[in-house]
Amino acid sequence: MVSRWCILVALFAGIAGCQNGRPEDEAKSLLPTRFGKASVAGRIMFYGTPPENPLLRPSGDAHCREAHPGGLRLPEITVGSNGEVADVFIYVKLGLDPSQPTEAQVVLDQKECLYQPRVLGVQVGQPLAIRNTDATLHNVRAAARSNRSFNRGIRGGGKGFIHRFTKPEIMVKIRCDVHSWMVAYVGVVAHPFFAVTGLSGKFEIHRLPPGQYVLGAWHEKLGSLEKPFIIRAQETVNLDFTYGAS
Amino acid sequence: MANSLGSVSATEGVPRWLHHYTVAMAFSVLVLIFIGGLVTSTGSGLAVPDWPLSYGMLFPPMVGGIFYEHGHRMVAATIGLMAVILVLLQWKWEPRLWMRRLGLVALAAVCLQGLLGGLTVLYLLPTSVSVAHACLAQAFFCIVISIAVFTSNAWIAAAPKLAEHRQFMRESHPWKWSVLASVVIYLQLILGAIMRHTGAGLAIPDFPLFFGHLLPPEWSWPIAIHFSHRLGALGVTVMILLTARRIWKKGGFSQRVRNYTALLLLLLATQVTLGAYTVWTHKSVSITTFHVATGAAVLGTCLLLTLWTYLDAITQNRS
Repeated sequence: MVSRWCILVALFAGIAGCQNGRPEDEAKSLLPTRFGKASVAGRIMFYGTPPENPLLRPSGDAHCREAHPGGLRLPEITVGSNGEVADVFIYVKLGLDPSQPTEAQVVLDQKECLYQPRVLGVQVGQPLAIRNTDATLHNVRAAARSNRSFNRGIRGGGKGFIHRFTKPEIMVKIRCDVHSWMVAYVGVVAHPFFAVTGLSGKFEIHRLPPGQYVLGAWHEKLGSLEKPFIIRAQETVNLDFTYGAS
Repeated sequence: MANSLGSVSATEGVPRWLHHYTVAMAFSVLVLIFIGGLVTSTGSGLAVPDWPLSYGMLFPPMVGGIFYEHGHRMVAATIGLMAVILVLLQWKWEPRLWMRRLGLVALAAVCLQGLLGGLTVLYLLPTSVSVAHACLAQAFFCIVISIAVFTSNAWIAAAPKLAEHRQFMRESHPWKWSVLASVVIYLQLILGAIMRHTGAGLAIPDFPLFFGHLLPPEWSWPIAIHFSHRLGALGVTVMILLTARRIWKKGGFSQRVRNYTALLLLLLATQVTLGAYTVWTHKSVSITTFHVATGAAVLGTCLLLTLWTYLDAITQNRS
């Protein structure tokens, strides 16, 4: 009986030790990012009629109702007048080695009962500051497949916490269960070469070293695309992606 | 009293109000099961990320999903308190030792249920813990119903003796069909809980067919579990109909048994209809939650039918 307890204690100690030391140790073993002077740029377009985003009435929380008195149109697909697609996560999918993360914070805010931004990217080990500037409670639940899932509550008024993902993952879905419509998607990559498209549908990834790569594009509703490309030193490669075309 | 399972000596008695208390408790547990179902139906299971406190507080603002999750915790805590009070009342007023022990079993079950509820929150709704939480809720409901029946005047007056129990176990009687029906219903509730907590509720999107066929043309784990639940519904229907037929054919049962049989058939029809509407409405929150609660009501009614049929049978046997 005593030995069983010893094994249990040892197991817990082992698990705790692993969890405490993992991200920092892995980051230290990584090489510094190898930067170059090449760039890849492009635009994400949608051809056809995009589906209409759902309209909901935020119920059950006066703060959310006041923030969206006319209802809330969920920004699941944001397409411009000429078909430019926003909120597409663009990243170098293949061709790069994992590199040390930057310490620059990326902020994910909970504002007006929405995650802002809805789509974002971080490097493995990079600090992701999750905040709540609303005057109401939110919980932050990461439903991860490769990384550790978590669920934390944040009281309103600008409070928050820092989280560092430990493994690459496309994408980690973040949601608030208090307000079921609130979702965000975090692209976690092992290098700093990624971008998220804005309303213009454009993206630019700079300082790439010359090489042969695969560029990936991910959208929450439109799905994933990828294109291979070769880039030489100081060259700018143009790569456009198109969704919705048959 | 030493050789009986249900008897109370003539000089001792169980206060009538203790029976009323347990009946009220049984109905409260059914309400709690409904509220628990509401938590899952609204996807609010993780709206409060900590346990046993809620956002570090005893009473957080009841906004959004917190209303359902913390509301569930509040009602559950009340039921837990009722279980503690039941044990104390039984210790003072209940002369039957085995009943006092059954009260303790109920208390242990509700404590374990609370712990499972906490664990499922802290470990982000692992299927095994969530399913165990759902199934223990039904088991606890059955225990409380049993206590309510055993504290009733009718049961105490009939006072089945241990020898009668032993003799009766060997005889063929409708109550055995009722026991079997209760077991099949419980198994069906386990399947339902697995389906619900693995997100397989709409794995087969049409009803009564399966992807427009008599059998699913493709198989996966969610489709298999959903299919099993529908097959289980058929099994439950057959078992309840057979039990009702046996009771009807044998005859001589009390009005109470006949009423519970009619109620069980009515609840069965309601439950099958709700199951169909759960698919047709793409898991509407209210329909799905009523489906969960009606499932519990079917189980509870079948258990009541089992116990009263058994008592009727013993009484008939004496005369």
